[in-house]
Amino acid sequence: MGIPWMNRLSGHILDIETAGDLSIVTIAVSPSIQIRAIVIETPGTATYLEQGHPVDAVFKETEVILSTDPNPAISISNKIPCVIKSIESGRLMTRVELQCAEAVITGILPSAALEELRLEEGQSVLSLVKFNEIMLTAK
Amino acid sequence: MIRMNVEKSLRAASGPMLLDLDIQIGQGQFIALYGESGAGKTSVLRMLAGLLSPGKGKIEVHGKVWYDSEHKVNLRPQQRKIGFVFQDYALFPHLNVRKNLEFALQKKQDPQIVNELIAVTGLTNLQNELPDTLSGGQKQRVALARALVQKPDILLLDEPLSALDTRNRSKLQDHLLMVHKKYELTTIMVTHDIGEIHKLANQVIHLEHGKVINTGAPLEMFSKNKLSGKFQFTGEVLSIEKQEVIYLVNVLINHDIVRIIAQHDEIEHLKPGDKVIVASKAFNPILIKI
Repeated sequence: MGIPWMNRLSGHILDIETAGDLSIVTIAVSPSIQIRAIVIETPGTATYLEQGHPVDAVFKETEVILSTDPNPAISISNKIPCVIKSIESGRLMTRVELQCAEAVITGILPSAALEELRLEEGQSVLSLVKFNEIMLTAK
Repeated sequence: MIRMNVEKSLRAASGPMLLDLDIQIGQGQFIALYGESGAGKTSVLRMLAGLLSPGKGKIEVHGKVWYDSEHKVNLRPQQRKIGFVFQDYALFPHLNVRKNLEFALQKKQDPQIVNELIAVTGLTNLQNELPDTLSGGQKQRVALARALVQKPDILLLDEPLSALDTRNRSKLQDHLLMVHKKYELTTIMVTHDIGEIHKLANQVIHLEHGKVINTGAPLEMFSKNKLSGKFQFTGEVLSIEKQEVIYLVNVLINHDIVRIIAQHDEIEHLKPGDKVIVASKAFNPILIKI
């Protein structure tokens, strides 16, 4: 099923760790980006769960957290180094486009947070996404 | 209920092929016949319509035998209550819209049905026009109306929308859905368009090399195991409102309206009335005992 929208990082499965009905899947997106996602699937229930299988990691724009600290001590498993490409501000919410290696992702943040962190175009930031917010689509 | 249990040797582009089918279709269903070119989809429609003899097997519709090779039963197309719409309209070029419909009337049939169908399919202002002066979408509406003149039980559609542009296609899909419900039809449509299947069909029959390889609801067929989100529903878009840098989409799921935050790219090809899959991770919802 083609999903033309949402944040999408294409890669292939590097590792699958399964316990019961759950698996944590590690996806290699680029040499600098690995994504981890938890899914209610196992290699037994979903045929695409095998090493090397191409998949897309998909997540909503509203699930992106930005940090100006390049190495925060934080439990979020996905930390993606990006550069701010563009900023579109609303009164409550702001839309930030981010260049992360080859991929472009979008974050929707509170406008207040943007001011607090003094985010600007061209700035390096870390995009954080929790492992339970990432869906996988098989190719 | 349509029961079709037939075997037929066909000569496909890739060589000889055995069409071997055992299909059951409940009354009132909207079926999508899906599969690659040469899989046998059009042959299924033609055998149901009586335009192609299976050679072996049995076709039973609403308890009545239409075809039975063993007992040499083979109803003629006119004896089967079927409406057929083809991709290329197949209208009479020298007859105007109204006369094209009237031509389909059976002897002693009340001609009032022609007025009704002209109104239902929005052809009132075009009823005196010749087919050549109509757009593709308009011609296909005439073909649809004509297929319904004899009040068929089963409507067969062979890629009826594939020659139309997106706007006309969407409009005709709405007409198809409307007449399917209004006239309580069992509709079988050959199509390759997955969006169209989600919008119209409640059941998909997937054919490959003359055999059914899978059947199921569109959501099951086309999204299960492809998207890991476990919280999936199909719904209908009611409205889309822009709010600052995002959009608020109201979606009707069964009898409940849910509101979903969406981005510009998500709503770009969406409009009220479109069917959508609402998907989320199973980790997001909370449960509250009532």
